[in-house]
Amino acid sequence: MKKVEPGARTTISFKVNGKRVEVEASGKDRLIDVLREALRLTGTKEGCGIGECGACTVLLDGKPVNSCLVPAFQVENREVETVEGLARDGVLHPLQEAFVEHTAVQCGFCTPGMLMSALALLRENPQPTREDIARAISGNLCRCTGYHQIIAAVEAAAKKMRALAEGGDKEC
Amino acid sequence: MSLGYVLPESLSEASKFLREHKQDARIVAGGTDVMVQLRRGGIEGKGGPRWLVDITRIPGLAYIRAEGDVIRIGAMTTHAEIARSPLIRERSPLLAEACASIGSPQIRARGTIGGNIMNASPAADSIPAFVALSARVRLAGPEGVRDAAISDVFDGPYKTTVQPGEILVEVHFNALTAGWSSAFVKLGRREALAIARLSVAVVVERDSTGRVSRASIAPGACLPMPSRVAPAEAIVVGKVADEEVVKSAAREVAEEMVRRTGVRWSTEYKKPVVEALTRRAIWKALGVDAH
Repeated sequence: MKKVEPGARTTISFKVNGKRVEVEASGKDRLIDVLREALRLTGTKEGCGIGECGACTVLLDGKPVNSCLVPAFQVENREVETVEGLARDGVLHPLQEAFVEHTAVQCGFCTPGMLMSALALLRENPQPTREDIARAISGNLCRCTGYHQIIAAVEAAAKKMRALAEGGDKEC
Repeated sequence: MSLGYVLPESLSEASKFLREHKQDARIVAGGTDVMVQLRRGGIEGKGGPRWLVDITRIPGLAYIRAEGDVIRIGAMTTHAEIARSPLIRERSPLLAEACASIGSPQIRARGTIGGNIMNASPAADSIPAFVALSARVRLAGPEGVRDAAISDVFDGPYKTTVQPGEILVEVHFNALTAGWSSAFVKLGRREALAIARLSVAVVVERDSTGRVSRASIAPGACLPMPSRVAPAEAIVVGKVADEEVVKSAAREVAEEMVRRTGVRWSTEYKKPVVEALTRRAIWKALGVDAH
């Protein structure tokens, strides 16, 4: 049984956005701490720190989770996706493009988490209704937009991604 | 004080460590309650545990299966898995509804049913559903495995009767068969990310004449200990439900709450709301949309 003493640090190895990484972490470090501090992936934001606001949402083995509630040691050998993994070679992901086009970004603090929740939805359900979208982002608070622009953006991104998939591009 | 952790690969390893470290050790699974509590106590605060025992690597604790009429759910099963399980939706729909109402998609993807029970929050959404289903839990400990009625697990808000070294591994109950129906209704401050202000779980059985032959009514977030309300159930049983019957059963639940908790500052609000919610839940279980 692996045992790490209080205060001791140990190496945790996992995948972030497809790349294997190793970080030093102690028992009190959370996933968001190693993402932001050790790996300098500061796209993921910490809002409330208690799983209420969704700003820190990342995908863990494909599922949206609050990275402020995940002990770092639990991600050993697992796969994490953050907002930094969305754009490829400087080209925005269709979801990001749609957020820009629909003014779904105002202050921007909730945006990385929103994008990750939306991405999880579109992978599972490429043709969501507005109701499906509202439910998928119900764990992400936005104090600026009033949500309508975000829902419209996700709807538009879904359309765009379906068109891309039909065109044979399976990048998303 | 800082925090250490162990990653046991079997129940016996976990159980042994927990028994040795008692209050200094705390189980972590989905982390959706533990991580919040650690933060509230200050992650390095005095009150918190010194050790986290991560049980997520112990194989064989996540499952939903039917054995005859008994449904068994492994402790590591997430709320999302229960909410979308065709088996649960068909054979104990109130539990699917209760789990679907927990937190947010992020919380439901991580939070486990074992954690929801063992955190013993008076506002836990799954607990009234399990109480209404007369569920039993299976605990694995240093002395072996024992089963207990769900209502015997609780010893007050956030307190359980479970001994150091015991780990909840399963919850099981009888599936609802022909003639049975159920409902779970919850009142939160908003639709998502809402802790239940009040909730009610109802299970009823009707005979071929439409008479209620058995009933189980379990309110949540309003009794000191989760339990059924027998006097209210007795009002419904043996009758064909009508507005008069349902109303007086609902009133009985509200009165039982006052009998058990006494009159508090919130009673003026809670009493009529418990009554209205119970009335709605009973009708919903009977297949009638009542507002």
